[in-house]
Amino acid sequence: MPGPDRAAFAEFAATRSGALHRAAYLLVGDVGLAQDLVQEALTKTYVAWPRLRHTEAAEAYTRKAITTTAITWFRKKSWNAERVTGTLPEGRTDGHADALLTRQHLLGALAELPPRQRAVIVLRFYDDLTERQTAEALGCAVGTVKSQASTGLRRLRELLGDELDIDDLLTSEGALA
Amino acid sequence: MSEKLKDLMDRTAAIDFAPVDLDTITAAGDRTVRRRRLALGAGALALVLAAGAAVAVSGRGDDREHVAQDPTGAPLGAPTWVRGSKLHTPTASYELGHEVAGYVRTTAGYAFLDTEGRVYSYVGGKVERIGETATEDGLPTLVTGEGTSIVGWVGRSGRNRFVAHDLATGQHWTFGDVRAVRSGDDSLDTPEEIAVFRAVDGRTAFVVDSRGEVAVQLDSGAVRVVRVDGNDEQVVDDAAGGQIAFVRTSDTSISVGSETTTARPLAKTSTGSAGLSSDGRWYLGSTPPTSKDLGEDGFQIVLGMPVAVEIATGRRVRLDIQGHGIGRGVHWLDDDTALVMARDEGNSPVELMACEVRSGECAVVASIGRYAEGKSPLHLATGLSFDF
Repeated sequence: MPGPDRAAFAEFAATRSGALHRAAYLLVGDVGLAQDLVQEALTKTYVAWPRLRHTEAAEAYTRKAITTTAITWFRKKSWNAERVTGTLPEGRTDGHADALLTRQHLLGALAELPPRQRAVIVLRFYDDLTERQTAEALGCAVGTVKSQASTGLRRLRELLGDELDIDDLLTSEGALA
Repeated sequence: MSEKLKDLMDRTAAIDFAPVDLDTITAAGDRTVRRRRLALGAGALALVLAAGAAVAVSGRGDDREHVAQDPTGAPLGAPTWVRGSKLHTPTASYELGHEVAGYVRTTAGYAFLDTEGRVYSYVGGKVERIGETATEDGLPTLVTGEGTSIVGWVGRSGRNRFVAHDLATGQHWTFGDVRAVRSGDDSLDTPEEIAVFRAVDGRTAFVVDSRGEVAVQLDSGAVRVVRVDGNDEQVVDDAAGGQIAFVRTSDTSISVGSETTTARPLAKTSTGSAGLSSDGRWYLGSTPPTSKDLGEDGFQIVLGMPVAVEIATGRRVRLDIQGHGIGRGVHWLDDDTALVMARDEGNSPVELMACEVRSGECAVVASIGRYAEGKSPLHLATGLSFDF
């Protein structure tokens, strides 16, 4: 059996790791953990590489690995919101105090959501996956994605208040308060 | 100030992450691949039994094509090797008509794979096509055992994917229960179809499918699970003479018995491709790897030297491969003589030796060139489509 194609995998990892890291960071709220998460997910992707065949499949596989691994970590380690509100990482933006506060608020609010609900929010509204793609990544029904998205958005509205403009999403997700 | 969720998430996640450590990722991935290869099959012979195996017996298939004839055919008791499309013995060569990717010897004749995964028999000087193997995501491999005329392989599709073929009678079986199951790979719950042909002992095939590791009695279809729950680290390595050799995947050590809970460990013995003798009295494996041979997770990278163990007494006999740095059993020539490959590091010449396991004495029976010589790799009768 031939081994994984290292060159093709290296290209995939180099071009997509940034986006994968950012989604992982929103899931776990910690830079170091996000890096560990992506590294573990890419290792699984590397092992599966010979049967993934094209980049789209590899990216979907990696996102699924990130999501399911993160959910497993949450369950095993009983993560809680305190973990993600510790130290804010250095950002590329202007470092404006209000902006930092808003970001901290978002991470804190996401951490308040149950793991699968948090994953639905990140996959649907950050990664822009469709409901079906999100369902495939989480291994659940499309209906579950719809309900989790609706519930998650309403909870974010409660936690963030006027900081967050999600009226359009609440409407489209059938969760208009 | 109110902000859209997408914009807020974009700003929140706008972080310069360090580049991924590709060396660490590929090293960890390669270790996983090696463990899976060991656990799922290369050269191993295994089992488990449940109930009600659907063993379909059929006559000779219509897809056979007569390819070539040789009025004599290669003898079965001789040491053999293959390069290109020719089967060699120390005294003669036989044209098989196809580029060979792996082959085995049975009591009735030979079976070989071509480079497209087609399976052929070579019996009495005649080459016939008898099937095709799965080539995707796996090791195209032929499996047989000592003292049997049956060869087995994993077919390309279908729930009853395992194929066994008796080279003596032409009897042909398809069986198994191959379905997509969870791999058990922690959080990644991608269903996978597991199908590995481990070994043949007489008229019993040992395979891994959706039920676990099972022994299938080909004539009756009776199935027995041979790997007991809770011993996931031990898989079937070989089976012969009513004995089953189990290999522990963490350190490649060998135990012999009828199931994992009662199998007796063989001291200081690791897996080797020759395995059990036809009467089940001897196991030909390797000395354990030294610490320098182990990866950081304990996976054995380099096999040790060939060692035979008398199972009843535990007596170990190191085979004298005359100073060569690398040696490994190929198969048994009779109940107490094994064919052993010996060579040195690098792409050095390969010698075939006949080793008497009671004394450990070996004699060169053929010098067969290097593995990488010209366009065609060297193959020995291990059934694998790659060299060891």
